[in-house]
Amino acid sequence: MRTACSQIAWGFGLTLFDFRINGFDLLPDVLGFILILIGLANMPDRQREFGIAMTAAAVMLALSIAELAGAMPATVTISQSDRSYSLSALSAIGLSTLCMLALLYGICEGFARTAASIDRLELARSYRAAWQLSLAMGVIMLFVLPFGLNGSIGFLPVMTVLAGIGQFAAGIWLIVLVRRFGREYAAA
Amino acid sequence: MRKAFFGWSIVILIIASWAYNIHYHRTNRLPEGRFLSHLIEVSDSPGDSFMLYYIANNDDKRLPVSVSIEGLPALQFYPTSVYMTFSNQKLYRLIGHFDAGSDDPSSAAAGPLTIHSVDVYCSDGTLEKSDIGEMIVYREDMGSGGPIAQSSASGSTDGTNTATFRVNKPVTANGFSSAFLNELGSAFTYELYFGTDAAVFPREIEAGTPISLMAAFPVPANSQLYLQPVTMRLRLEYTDEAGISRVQMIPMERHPYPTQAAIREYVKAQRRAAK
Repeated sequence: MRTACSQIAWGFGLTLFDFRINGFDLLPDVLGFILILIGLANMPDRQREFGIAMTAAAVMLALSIAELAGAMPATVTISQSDRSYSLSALSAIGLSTLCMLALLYGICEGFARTAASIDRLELARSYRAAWQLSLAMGVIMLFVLPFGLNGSIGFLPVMTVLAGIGQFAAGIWLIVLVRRFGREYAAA
Repeated sequence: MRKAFFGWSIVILIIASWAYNIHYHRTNRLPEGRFLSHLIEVSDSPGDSFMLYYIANNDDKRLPVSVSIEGLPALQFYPTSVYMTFSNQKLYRLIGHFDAGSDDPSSAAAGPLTIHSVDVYCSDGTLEKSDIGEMIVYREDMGSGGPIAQSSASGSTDGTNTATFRVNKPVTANGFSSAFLNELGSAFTYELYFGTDAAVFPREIEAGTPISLMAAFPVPANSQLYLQPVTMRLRLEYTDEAGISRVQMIPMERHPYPTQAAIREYVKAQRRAAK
């Protein structure tokens, strides 16, 4: 269990951080999703939600490979309010956000149920709180994203940056919770 | 039950946001990029210039790179630049300038050249003819080095322009005209003074008398002229002491500063026309 949790935590870490040198991603998301898939497959406690997370991770792995191969529109950063973004670029971000929400739901709810089954109720509550924060940020992102089609929307970059920071914080929180769960499960 | 209602409300809100924005994006697209309808008067004297405005959707890849006009080999264009950006469209500007006067001495005798369409070189390597409105190029000798010299000029974004001139030797002012005075009607107003008197023609003007012109383009936002760039070369015609007829050109320009609402109306009109 401890190894599986470690793999999932490292996998999340790789997908959260984006270190690029001359456009080359030193921590490719592909590696992160493979680690998450291996970690979820190694989980001894088979919760139904882990299956949802594995499906979402597999879809995101396929999307990341397609992006690396140039078959998907390059990821855009919504940072300017005085320009509009293409429907294909915004749809790619929307799809990726939806898949990430499914992945987070699967992991948070799966771990919450497993934690509850070994009487770690506080940990289960923390997982659900992390999911609620991720959901709130994801919903904000999905709602404001299409406004980028029509440009010149002053609040768009602010909202996407805030939602991005929120998602990042939720991701860090989840990494901490997963590693903590690995340690506590081994000790139980 | 409450949780499900809350969840479905969020889902509906997100779907509505995507549906509204995709619908707005599709219904606010120009059928194709095009030049605004201009009114341009310009002379082919070296240094004289004018501006062409081109409107296209933000994601249009095919844009004008340069323009040429048959019969005007001395006309050159600076690279296209973005002038204004709107929700779904961008307004581009091309500045045309005359590097040298026409090499053809017969062109001056042929009189002004009227142009309605230009050859446009596009970013995809194609060449097409595009309507630009109406452009009149004066090719006659204006009688350079005359006794009237411009001493100041200013313009503001609301279309108000002022210009003052100094008369160095006595002249007789014979007339004041522009090809577009009738067309513009009340959309162009001006006050011309010789000294402190309102201009009447013909009128003898003593050396040292200042000539001043105040002009404006009071175009209401709902007028068809609102999105019409205007470049005028007002012609003050006079005779000098030696009896030589001369023309003092007075540049007057109105650049478009459309609002998002004006652009939306323009796009609607273009979509209606394309149907």
